[in-house]
Amino acid sequence: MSEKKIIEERSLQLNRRAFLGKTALGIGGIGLASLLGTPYFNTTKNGVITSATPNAGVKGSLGGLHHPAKIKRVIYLFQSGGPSQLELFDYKPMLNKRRGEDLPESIRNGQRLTGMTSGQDKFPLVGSQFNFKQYGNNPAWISDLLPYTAKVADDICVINSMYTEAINHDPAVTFFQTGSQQPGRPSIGSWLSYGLGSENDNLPAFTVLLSRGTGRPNGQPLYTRLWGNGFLHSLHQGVQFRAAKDPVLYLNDPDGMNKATKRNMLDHLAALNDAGYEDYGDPEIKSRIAQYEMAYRMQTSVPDVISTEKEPDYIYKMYGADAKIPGTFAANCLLARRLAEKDVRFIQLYHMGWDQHENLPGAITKQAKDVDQASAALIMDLKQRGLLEDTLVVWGGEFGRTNYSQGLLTDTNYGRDHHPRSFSMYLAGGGIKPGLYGKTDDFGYNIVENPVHVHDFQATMLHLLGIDHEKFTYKHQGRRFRLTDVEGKIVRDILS
Amino acid sequence: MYTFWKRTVPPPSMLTFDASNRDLCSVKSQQTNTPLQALVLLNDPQIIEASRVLAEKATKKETKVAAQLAYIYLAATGQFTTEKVAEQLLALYHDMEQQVLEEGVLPEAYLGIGEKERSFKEKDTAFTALSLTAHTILNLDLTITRS
Repeated sequence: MSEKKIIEERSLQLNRRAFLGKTALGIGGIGLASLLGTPYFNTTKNGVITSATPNAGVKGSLGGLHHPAKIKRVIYLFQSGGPSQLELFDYKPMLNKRRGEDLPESIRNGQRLTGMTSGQDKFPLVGSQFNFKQYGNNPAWISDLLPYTAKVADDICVINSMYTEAINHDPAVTFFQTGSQQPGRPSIGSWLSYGLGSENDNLPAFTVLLSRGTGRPNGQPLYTRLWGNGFLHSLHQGVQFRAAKDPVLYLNDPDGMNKATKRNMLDHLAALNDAGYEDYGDPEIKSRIAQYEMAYRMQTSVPDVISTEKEPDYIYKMYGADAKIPGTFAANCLLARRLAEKDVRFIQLYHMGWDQHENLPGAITKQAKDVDQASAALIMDLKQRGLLEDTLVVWGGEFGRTNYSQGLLTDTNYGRDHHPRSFSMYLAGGGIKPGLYGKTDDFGYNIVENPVHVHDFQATMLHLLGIDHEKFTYKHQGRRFRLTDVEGKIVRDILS
Repeated sequence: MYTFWKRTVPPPSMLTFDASNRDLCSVKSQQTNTPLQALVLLNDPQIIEASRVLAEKATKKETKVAAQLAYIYLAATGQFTTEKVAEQLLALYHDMEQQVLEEGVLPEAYLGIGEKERSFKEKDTAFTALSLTAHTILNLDLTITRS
C-alpha cells in the first residue's frame, strides 16, 4: 500500500473531534465526505474534497431505497415518563375483580423491580378507575380518558404487546430513540437524516419540540443527547425548537443590515472558517459552515412555518384551546403538521409528565387531557390534507406501568411503578393496518400474543421508510452499527 | 457585562449553547453544533454590541486598519493573524466598507444596537466596517470553540 493510500485509509477511520490532533501531513481534506457520512461536500472518487455545496440541504447517504417506501416522514409523539397502558389501552377487568390481592409470584415470575417498589411487602393488584369501551372495525379497547383518540380508532393501530429491556427512564428512552440503552448512538431522526437526507433544503431534516405535561409538571427531564447525532456527523443532530412564543430565536437580521451584506459577511466567514479547517482538520468546522448556511435559510423558512396565527378557527377547534398557547403539546402538534407539510423528515415531539408513581388517577386524567384531543386532531388533520398516507404517526412512551399499586392502595387512589414487560403504543399512517395488535394476560403483566420488541418497532418504522434495517449501517470504531443493533423483526402483521 | 440567570430559567441564548437548565445537576455538559447557534451569534444584539465595543477598543489602540484587525482577531481567538488570515480579514473589511457605501448597512441603525454608549464618533464608514468585521470574527469557529 502506498503511503498516500495508507494516509487516506487512516483518515477514513477517524471521526469528529478525534481528528483535532492536527496533522503535519496535510491530509485535512482527504476522505472527509465519507468520514462525515454526508455527501454535503463534493469529492473525488477517493474522497478528496473538491468543493462544498452550501445551498443544498443534507443529502442522504443511501444511494437509493432498499425497497419502495410507504412513508416519507415520521411524527413521533413521544409520551415521556411511561404512560400507564392499564388506564389507556390495555383493558383488564380482572384486576378490578381481584383488587387488593397480592400479585402472584407465578405471574411476576422473577421480574426485577425498580428500587421504588422492590422494598414493598405486598404488591396489591389494582385495576383502572376509568371505564373502557371498544371502538373501530377491528375493535380496540380505549379508555374514557381518551375520547378524541376513540374517534380516530379506525385510523390507528393499537399495539398492546410492546416490551423493552430497560426499567428506568433514561436507558429506556435512550433505547427507543437510539436502539441502545447506553448513550452515544445516533437518534432515529439522525439516522434518517444521514440515510435519507432532507426533502427541504431550508429546514433541518430532524426537528424536536418539547412540552411539559400537567400530570406531573416536574416530571422526568430530557437530555439533548436523546436527539443527538452520536457517531454520525453533527449535521444530523436534531434541531430543538423552543417551547415558547418564538420557537427559534434571532431570526431577524440586525437592525440596519440588509440581506446582501449578510450574504457577503457569511461568504467571508465561510472562507475564514475554511482556512481554519485547513489548519486543524476538525470536521466540526465544516459542520459549522453548513449550519451557518442552514441558519441563513431558516431565517426565511422558519417564520413561514411557525406563524400559526393564520390557521383558521376550525383548525384551532380541532386541536383544542391549548393550541393557542405556545409550548403546549397541542401547539406543538399543530407545528408538527406544518413541518410535515414542508417535508421535514423526522419531527420528534416529547410530552413529559407520564411518570405517575403516586396519585395516578388524578395525574393521568390531566395528562391524558393534555394530549388526547391534539393527538387525534393531528391524525385527522394530516388525513384531510392527504398527508397521512405518507406519514407515520407514532404515539407511545418508553415503558408501561405495573398492575400493582406503588404505595398505599386506597378506595380512590393508587400509583404504579415502571413496567417493561408489556405496554401499549399506537401507530397511524401510511402502510399501517388499523386495529388492535398483541395481547397480554388477564393480569396485564405478561404478553401472551404477538410480542413487539423495541427493535421490532424500529425495524418496522425503517421498513415503511423503504430501508432494510439490516443493511442500513454506519461503520464506527471498527464495527458496523445499526439502529436495531443485531436484532429486530419487521412486524408484518400490522402492515397493510 | 452582566446577564441575568434566574434559577431554572437560563438566558435562552445560553441554552442554545448547551447551558444546563439547572432542573437537576448535570454531570457533563452536552455538545451541540446547530443552526440555532449561528442565529444567536449573527443576530443577538448582545453579540453585535460586543462587536462594536471591540471595534472601539481597536480604534483606540491602533491607528492602521491592518493593526486594528489583528488586534480584534487576537482578542477574539487568542491567536496572531497569519499572513493569509490578515489578507482575508482585510478583504472582508474592504467588502464591508463597500456594503456601507452601497447602503447595505445603515451605520446609525447598526451601531445603535445595544445599550453601551458609543464613546466617540468615529468616521462612520470605516468604523461601521470595522464593527462588521469584528462581528464576523466573533462568529468564527476558532472564536467559539475551545481547542
